[in-house]
Amino acid sequence: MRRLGSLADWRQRLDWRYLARLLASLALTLLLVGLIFDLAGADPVAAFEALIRGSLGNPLGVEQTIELGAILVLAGLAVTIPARASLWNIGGEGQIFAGALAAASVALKVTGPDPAIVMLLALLAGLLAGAAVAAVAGALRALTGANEVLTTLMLNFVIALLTFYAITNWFPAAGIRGSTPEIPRDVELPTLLGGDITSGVLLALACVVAAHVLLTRTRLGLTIRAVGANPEAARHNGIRLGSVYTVSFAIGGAFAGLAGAIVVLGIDGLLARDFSPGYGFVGIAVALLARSRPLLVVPAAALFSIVTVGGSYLESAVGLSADVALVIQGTLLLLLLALWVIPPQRAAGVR
Amino acid sequence: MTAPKPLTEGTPGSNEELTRGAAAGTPAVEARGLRRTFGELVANDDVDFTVRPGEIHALLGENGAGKTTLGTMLAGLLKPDRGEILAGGEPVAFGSPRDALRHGIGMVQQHSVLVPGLTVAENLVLGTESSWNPRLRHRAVERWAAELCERFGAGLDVSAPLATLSIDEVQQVEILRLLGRDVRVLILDEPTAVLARAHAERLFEALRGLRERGCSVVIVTHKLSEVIELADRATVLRHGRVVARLDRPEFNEDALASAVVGTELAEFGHEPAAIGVSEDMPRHGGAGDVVLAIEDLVVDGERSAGAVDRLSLQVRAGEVLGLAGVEGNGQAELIEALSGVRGVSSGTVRIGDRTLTQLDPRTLDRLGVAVVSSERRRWDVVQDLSIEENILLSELADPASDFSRWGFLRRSKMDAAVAERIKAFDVRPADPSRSVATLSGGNQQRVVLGRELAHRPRLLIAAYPTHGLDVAAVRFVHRTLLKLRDEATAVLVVSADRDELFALSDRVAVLYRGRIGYEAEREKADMRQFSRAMVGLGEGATA
Repeated sequence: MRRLGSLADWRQRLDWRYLARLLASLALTLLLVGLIFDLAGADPVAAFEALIRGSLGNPLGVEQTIELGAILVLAGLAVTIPARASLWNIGGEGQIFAGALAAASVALKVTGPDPAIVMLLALLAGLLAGAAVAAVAGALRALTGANEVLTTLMLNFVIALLTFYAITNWFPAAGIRGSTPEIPRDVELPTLLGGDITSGVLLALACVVAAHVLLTRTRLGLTIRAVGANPEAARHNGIRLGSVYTVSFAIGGAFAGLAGAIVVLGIDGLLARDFSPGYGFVGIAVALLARSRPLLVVPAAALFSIVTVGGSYLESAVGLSADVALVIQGTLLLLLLALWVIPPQRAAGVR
Repeated sequence: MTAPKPLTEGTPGSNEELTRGAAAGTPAVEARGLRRTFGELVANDDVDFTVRPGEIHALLGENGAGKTTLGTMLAGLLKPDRGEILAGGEPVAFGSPRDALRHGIGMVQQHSVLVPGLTVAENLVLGTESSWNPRLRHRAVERWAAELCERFGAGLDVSAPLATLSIDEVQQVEILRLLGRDVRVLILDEPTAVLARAHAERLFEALRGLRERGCSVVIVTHKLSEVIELADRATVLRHGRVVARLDRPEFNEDALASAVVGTELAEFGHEPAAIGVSEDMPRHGGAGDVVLAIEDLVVDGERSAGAVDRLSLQVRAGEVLGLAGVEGNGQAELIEALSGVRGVSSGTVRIGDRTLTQLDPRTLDRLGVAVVSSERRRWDVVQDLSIEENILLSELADPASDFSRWGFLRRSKMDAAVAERIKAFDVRPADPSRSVATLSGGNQQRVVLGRELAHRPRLLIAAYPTHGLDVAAVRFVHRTLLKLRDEATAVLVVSADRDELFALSDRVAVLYRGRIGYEAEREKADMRQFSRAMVGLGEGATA
């Protein structure tokens, strides 16, 4: 009865003003991006067309958009879970590196068992490595009060450099390519329906559902939300802040680690030094845009993925530099944050 | 009147400015019929208040009496709902503190408004129009600031960063900042709360110096000794109204104490029905075993060691112990310690037969201790969570609770329990999924009670349980507490409202400087001793 909800209930939850604000900010973004196209000397309509055609209008584009979207979904979830406990995970990038390194190491070094088992072990290793790196920041916050923004940010460099070291020293065949040898095909993630899209996409979607269930249906999720909304009252009611800090970071890191593993096992088929164009940092933008709601992470990630993949077609289609895609991303983020995400939060703070 | 022109003239302030209002007995500032409410709470009602030029005027009253509200309205930080303010005889309407400053009225608030990262001189000049001067020169600012300090006899290094100053020096800067703007009515809110004794003496000396210069000083305080030592006149507030105006010759501790807290029980409107305790409710016959025994408890505060200072008290099953006291005498620290969120320095707390030296919320919960804390929004409810999640929060936090299995919430069990509690505690609207933030204070408190009292606690600690609630909610809380007591729960109530304490309690005690200053059976309580103990004049007598 209650979960079905009355009509009034639904109206309260949907809140048309939110929706109107979202649509208005999207419209304004389109307008401004069109203006940027125009100023850059391209026909805005043709440029938009190229953007969509490049990302959704051809088989290769669709594959890239979906796969990039899956990685961004996980990178977004990595920020979302700690964010619900009022913690900033700026370390998604490092946690993705940790996951990628752990997955590549297992995939290349473990040869005994069945390849399918090795694949699962590699995924698990990636997940645990991401969780472990993130948990360090959570535990430091819990034990010493160290600001998690700084610790996660710093750990990015530590883990990236460790990965560079590992690539050249653990896998001598790396040579000048700056990457590990290719992972055996039968250890890679299977593709979907005989096509080229990796089944890692399904894992990402499963993670969205898991994150949503975690936050809404579990005891841990409730404690995370309570700590995020009012740590003092949470503590007063017997919730241990330190363990919530550590665990929420570990969960976020697990998502990031899984993202790294999927890149290695499902998309690149090897671990290259420059495998990440900054997935972890885009994940922050995705989580912001999704207002830390797991289900909203999917459309937010899709938006960034479309702009990124479609943006790379702008050069050949309408002669715009690929950098324009970055400008679009920035505009998108700024406008949506300013018009849609931040105002309701500020209103909540004032109350 | 104008902002200082120090950088061109080199002379901060001017004597003319300070003494201008002194002519012909015109009050420096006057309030007529001021009223101000915060939601349901009437903080000031029909307040007349006059400050003469060149006097030190104490604004006296218990916490919550409305002193600070009055001060902030005079200083333009808060707008009155009704009534008028006259500065130098002219009616004024302040839209901001800047307007008040323009009329020579400034307030030093309890919490510093200065910028720690700037130097003393920069803080002094900050916010004056001259700081927008593009030709502002560092050296000129410092020279001006140094002159200001010298003029008012403050030995401060004006080039030192504020963060390196001691607490009393920061306060000097706060005062100088206002004096530098030609303030002639200086309002200080509890200025000695943060000061050591010697520093307070020095502050008083400085304030007397300002009086010599024709400046008026309003000192907001609840300390009688300060009034006697310093003030020329005193206005006493109680429950937002002026209850007494005294001149210096009339000052003595007894007169002031009785004005501040009152001595006649009748004066409290001590009719049980008035606060929701009906006569037909059985007064409890006798108390049972000791449930809470505190021995030599020491709890450190944020700023002060020993905020609770070797306190001992006992509460028995089936009795209400009412703990009175002016705020700031260790109540907050005691409650926080007893709810397990503040560490105990020494001493023991025995609950039933468990003797504890450190307490934590979950252990207390399992021992059957319920806590309604002093700041509902801070400690008790999570605004962004639903009624359901709040009303079950402490149980949901416990992995051993029935409401979760394998880490998953058991919705059907939760729904049943929540429906029952919402009904029993009459939470409105009775919609479990609604966010607590949308509820009135009274209904939020019902949610808190629903959570804390669901399992008939062995011990209830309730701090200011009716603070800010409307009449119906107050009545409900009182009934609930008495009902629990009759069911043999031990109840410790901390309140600033003596009507409430006397109506609810079987025994009353006064907390002063972290210790029990007076304790008596309710019927045997001596009101005069009780009042004196509140302001530290007790003989430590225990009836």
